[in-house]
Amino acid sequence: MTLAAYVPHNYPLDEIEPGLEETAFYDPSNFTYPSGAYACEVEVDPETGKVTIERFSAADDFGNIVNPMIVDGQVHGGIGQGIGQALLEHCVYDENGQLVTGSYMDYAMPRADDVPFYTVDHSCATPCTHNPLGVKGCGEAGAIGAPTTVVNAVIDALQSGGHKVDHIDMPVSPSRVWEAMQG
Amino acid sequence: MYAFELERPSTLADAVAALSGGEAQPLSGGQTLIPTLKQRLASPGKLVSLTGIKELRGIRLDDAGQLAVGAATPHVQVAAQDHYPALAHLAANIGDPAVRNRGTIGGSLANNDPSACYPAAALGSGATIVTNTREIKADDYFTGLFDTALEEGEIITEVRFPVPRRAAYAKFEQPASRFALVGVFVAQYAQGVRVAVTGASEGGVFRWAEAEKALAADFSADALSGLALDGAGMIADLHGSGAYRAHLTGVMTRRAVAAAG
Ligand SMILES: Cc1cc2nc3c(=O)[nH]c(=O)nc-3n(C[C@H](O)[C@H](O)[C@H](O)COP(=O)(O)OP(=O)(O)OC[C@H]3O[C@@H](n4cnc5c(N)ncnc54)[C@H](O)[C@@H]3O)c2cc1C
Repeated sequence: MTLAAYVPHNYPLDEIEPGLEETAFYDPSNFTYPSGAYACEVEVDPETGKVTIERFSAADDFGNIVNPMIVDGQVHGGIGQGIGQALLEHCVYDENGQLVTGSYMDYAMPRADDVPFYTVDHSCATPCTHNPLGVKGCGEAGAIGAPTTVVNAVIDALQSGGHKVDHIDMPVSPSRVWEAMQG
Repeated sequence: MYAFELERPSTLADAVAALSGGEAQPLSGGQTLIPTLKQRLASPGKLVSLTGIKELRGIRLDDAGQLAVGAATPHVQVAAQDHYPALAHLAANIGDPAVRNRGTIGGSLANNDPSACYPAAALGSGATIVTNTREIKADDYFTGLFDTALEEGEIITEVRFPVPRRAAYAKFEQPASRFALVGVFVAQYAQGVRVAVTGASEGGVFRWAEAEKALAADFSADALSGLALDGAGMIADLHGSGAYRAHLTGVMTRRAVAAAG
């Protein structure tokens, strides 16, 4: 029908206009509530403050999953984005309002060797009760879970190394970790 | 980018002649110069490409047993030679494969970026920078940030490295560019030990005299304990304070000594 609507060479064009348009609005009775738990293991170089992520696991309940590979990939990308925010990415302006991180020579994007292999688990799939597919949102889960997980792991590593540190602003760069270790 | 003329001489003599007209600048791997032109931060009327000149390319041992690297030799070839492993390791960790396939030792030393790796190797080895008119000792060559002893129109032709007994380069990467936030080159020769530090100082690459003295007496990481630089005169930017760079200089020096074995 769509094909016919858009190939109008034999239409009576004065009677029917080509094309097919319809607008519908879905008003969900409620939001969806995905939930998850993230864990990671980091190593902090005590001499330089450099953080290395050794392992990262993410378990999410996204309800029914229609395409598992897309969901895994979405979470992988989100964790990468979250690790970038936690450890690397930073917009800095000088006192004149000039952006000093205007190129990748100073703005640190996560690269392949900044991220570990991830374990993702979606085996807990509790169907959402208020949409017909039983699905939940998954788009931002990785990017939401990863920054807190990474920074908490760094703080935990510093505390277990005897440092009285309970907060470091993101990005947790080597120099900031080192400053924090100096007390 | 502004318009410019390009010449591709095949001999050093032709390159020198092409550069004598003023307004002209040598082009080697282009890894620094081309981005500068793209940002319109320079507008040379003419670029004289050096990479087609055979006598500027390649690696050999000279009569004195020094490793002589042609100025237009790309990093990837320095990384592949096995006469001077610490230098190979340094070259292998510059930038990415594309940068290493194009970027050259002559371009790096002419540019003298305060965060670049080769200046540490040249100063740390007591290398000789050979140009079309003279030979310059590394100790006299580096004169400040992006500043060298080269005269207008002078071309680096070769860099000669005395091969040390043992040596290593330890680089702590700036997280974004992966240039050296601090890089330390340590080399031990019969005459003594040299320690050259890049990335750290507002004056560019420098030798750390106290560390050299301590290592000459005892070439071990322990010999450095108690030695420290302070943050005065060190580069401070969004990637780290002067105090952090001073601290990293100590850490990287110890790691370089340990790696040199
Ligand atoms: C993404 C990226 C990452 C990098 N990472 C690193 C790194 O980790 N460590 C590091 O040390 N470097 C790094 N570099 C810089 C790299 O090593 C460049 O190759 C080097 O700075 C310039 O060499 P070139 O041959 O490209 O020189 P060009 O860009 O061609 O020239 C640079 C300057 O030197 C002059 N010049 C060139 N050859 C000669 C000569 N023979 N005689 C006199 N003047 C000459 C030119 O006129 C120009 O002013 C990086 C570069 C990029 C783009």
